[in-house]
Amino acid sequence: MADPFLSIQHVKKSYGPNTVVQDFTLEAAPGEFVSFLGPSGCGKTTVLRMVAGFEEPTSGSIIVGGRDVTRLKPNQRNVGMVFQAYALFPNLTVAQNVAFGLKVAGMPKADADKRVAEMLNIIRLPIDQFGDRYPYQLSGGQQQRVALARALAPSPKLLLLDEPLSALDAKVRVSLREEIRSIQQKLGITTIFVTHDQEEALSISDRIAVMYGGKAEQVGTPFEIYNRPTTKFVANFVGTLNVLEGTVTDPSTGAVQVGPSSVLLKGKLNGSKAGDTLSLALRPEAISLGRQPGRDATLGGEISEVSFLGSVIRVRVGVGKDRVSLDTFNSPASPPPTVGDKAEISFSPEDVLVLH
Amino acid sequence: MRLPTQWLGVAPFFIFAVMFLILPTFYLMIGAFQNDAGEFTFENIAALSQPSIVAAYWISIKVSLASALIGALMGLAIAIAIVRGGLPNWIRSATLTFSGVASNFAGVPLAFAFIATLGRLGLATVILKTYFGFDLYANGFNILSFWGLTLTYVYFQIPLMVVIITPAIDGLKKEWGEAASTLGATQSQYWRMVVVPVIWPSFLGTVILLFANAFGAIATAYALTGSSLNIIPIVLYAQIRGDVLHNAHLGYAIAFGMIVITGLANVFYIWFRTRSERWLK
Amino acid sequence: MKSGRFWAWVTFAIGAGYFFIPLIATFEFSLRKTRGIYSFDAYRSVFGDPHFQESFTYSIVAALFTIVLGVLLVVPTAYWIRLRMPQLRPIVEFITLLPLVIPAIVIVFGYIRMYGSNSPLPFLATTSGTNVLLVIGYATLALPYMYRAVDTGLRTIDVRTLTEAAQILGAGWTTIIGRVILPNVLIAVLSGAFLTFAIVIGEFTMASLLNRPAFGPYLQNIGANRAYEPAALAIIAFVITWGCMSLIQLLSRYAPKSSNQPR
Repeated sequence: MADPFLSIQHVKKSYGPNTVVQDFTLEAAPGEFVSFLGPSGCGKTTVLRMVAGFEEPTSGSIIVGGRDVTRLKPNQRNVGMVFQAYALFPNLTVAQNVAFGLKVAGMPKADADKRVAEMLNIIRLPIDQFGDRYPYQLSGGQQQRVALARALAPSPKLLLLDEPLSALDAKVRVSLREEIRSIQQKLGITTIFVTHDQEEALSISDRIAVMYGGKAEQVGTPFEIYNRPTTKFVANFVGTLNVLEGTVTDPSTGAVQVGPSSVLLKGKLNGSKAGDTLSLALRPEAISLGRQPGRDATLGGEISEVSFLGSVIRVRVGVGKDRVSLDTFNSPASPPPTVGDKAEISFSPEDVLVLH
Repeated sequence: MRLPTQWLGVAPFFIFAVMFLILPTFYLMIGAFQNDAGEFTFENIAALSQPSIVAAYWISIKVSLASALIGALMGLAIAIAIVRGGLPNWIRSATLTFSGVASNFAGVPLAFAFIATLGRLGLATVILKTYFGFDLYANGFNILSFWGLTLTYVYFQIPLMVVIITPAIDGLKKEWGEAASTLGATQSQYWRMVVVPVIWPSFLGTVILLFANAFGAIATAYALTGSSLNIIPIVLYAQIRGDVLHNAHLGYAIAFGMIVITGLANVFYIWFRTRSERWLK
Repeated sequence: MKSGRFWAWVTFAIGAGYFFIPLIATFEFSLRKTRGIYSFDAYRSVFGDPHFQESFTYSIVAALFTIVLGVLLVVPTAYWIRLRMPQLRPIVEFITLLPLVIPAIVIVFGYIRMYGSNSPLPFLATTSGTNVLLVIGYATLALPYMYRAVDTGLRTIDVRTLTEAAQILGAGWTTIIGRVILPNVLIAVLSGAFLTFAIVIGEFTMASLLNRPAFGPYLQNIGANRAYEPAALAIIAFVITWGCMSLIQLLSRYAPKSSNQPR
């Protein structure tokens, strides 16, 4: 990246003997939307809070727009932040909440009013209808939109979103994340989004940093993270993954024994020797029931479970001692397979992730 | 159509409340406007204007207001210190436990404790005189005075404030402060624009409660000062015991006046709350 | 943040000083009965005083009756309000708060005028009637505290669901109240009871105006006539209050934690 807008350099954070973040480095281009994805306790929120200024890094530095902000107080950093629990001020109306940052910055009232109306328009809560309401009179989704408008009103350089969707119910969550993304793109503001929900991160981000144990396991585009995970943790954490145990029989041809069958994974074995045990990982959508053109590796098994989910039928097939899940589309003409049937699954050797 | 059996469940409570709380109060309030013959009159109310009674009301209001305000401010400071001050956790629980005890440590024993502390032979008085050369009494202090009584009342007012206001301080979300600071607000701007407005209703409500608490109290003052400091409950007490004012209905009028004062304080609070706190659910 | 913590310590220290100095001073004073040495003579004199024993016993008995009356009055009402008549809640809450607004001396003055020997309900005509009226007066004083304690207890257990669950399992009303509701609010009721005890045990105004030989008037009398015994009594009263509050705290550890509360 030639000219990063946000640069987090070798940041560490320890509380006494506990190291919560160890050597975290990340750069974000202007206008980029970067997600921190990971399970709770992975350090993602701590990194975000260090960027916001609520925590001071034990070592390392944080640079925003060319200025080192590592030791600045939160109110000197000009960042906008949205919290999981909305954190709207209960004693202020919607309009007063959005105007808060403008007021403390000393913006003339007329300009501030104009800006507030503009912001409320962007989040589709028009000021004449919602401006005088108090937070308790709004739904969770509306409150979070107001929180977003409040964070954006003072034109921050950086937008920080700390699990902003976690407190909302499923439908609102999807529509609001689309809204956040489109507003972010419209304003072109560099954004960091913290979440533990992989679907959220995949759908909304330019890049994702998957975090685990205080470190970034992998940083990449959603496509890279999903299709080419570099560590076992990333592969498991992002998406559903079928893992089959296999034993290398002939490294030269790439032959691997899985249960009673054998597959050829040429060029994937990375120097494994005969007799090595491997984990072969496959996404459900990379596996077909029966033979399919282009998917020429096959394994025999037995259908162990069939769940009808509407447009999709999820089938589990026992292969050796492992079970794999795969999805087939519903077709009114052909009934779903029956439990206990013998079945053959096929996949392309290209799609196999070999996890050592 | 609600079956009358529904009401049987709450009937004992309402009968009790009417007989032993509401009717006795109304009885006095009506009596305040009657003469011995049972005719309507304003004479009793007018008689309240005699200087000794006005002075008694006034000193009561002053002591109650001063002890409520001092108690509320000190209590608020302590509550903020234990909730937000970064003190060890055991201090918080110890303070809350102690406040529960001290807020109920009132009446006659409290007067004894303050006589033993700040009376003429009290430990604090003696220590100040012996070791610091400061004679409290020579400098105008007297435990049997306005400030003596106020200082004593503060002993149960502060902990009462701590007990009531701590949950309100706990209700201040950490994220509000964080949101304010990312929006560029300084600590004092955050306090002025968010914390004070949010706490204000609970604070004012508690001040009113503390005021009523002190205004009706008699045991502490009576044990402390006998009848040398004539607060209004002591005047009423003397009137009930011995009809010292030689007019039974004047006693009713005094009681009526006391209810009016505590009642007005509460009406003011309710009015304030509905008027300025539309954000409260 | 560093200076914030400093001021927190300062505030705490001032508060602690204000609250502990009188206790220490009182204790010190109570030990000075015998000239020149520290002794527990004041306590010995207090405990040996038959009037102390009588008035203290009287107040304990009065407190126990007050607790029983308060529980009988508050528990069914609070339960019924939660279960069937939530629309009455504001009225009941308002009534239970009245004793905090109407001074005790006014309430008891009303009693004296309304229930005198010439009235239709002459409580004051007999000694036992006066005792009953004193207990009633104490119950009104304790009403705000008792109601709060019980209502909080009921809120954490979600009465409605528990009642419905018991009904579906075939329980009758006696079973529901006796075996489902009461055990679950027992802790809350006991908390209210100890608070009531702490309020009633040294109460002065009502007992004095109704001329009953209770502990409060006894304290006042000692205060007017003795030097060192009042300090000893203050310490004893503080210990009693402290004991009641500690029991409440201890009990709250065993209170049922809400598990089925959607809130």
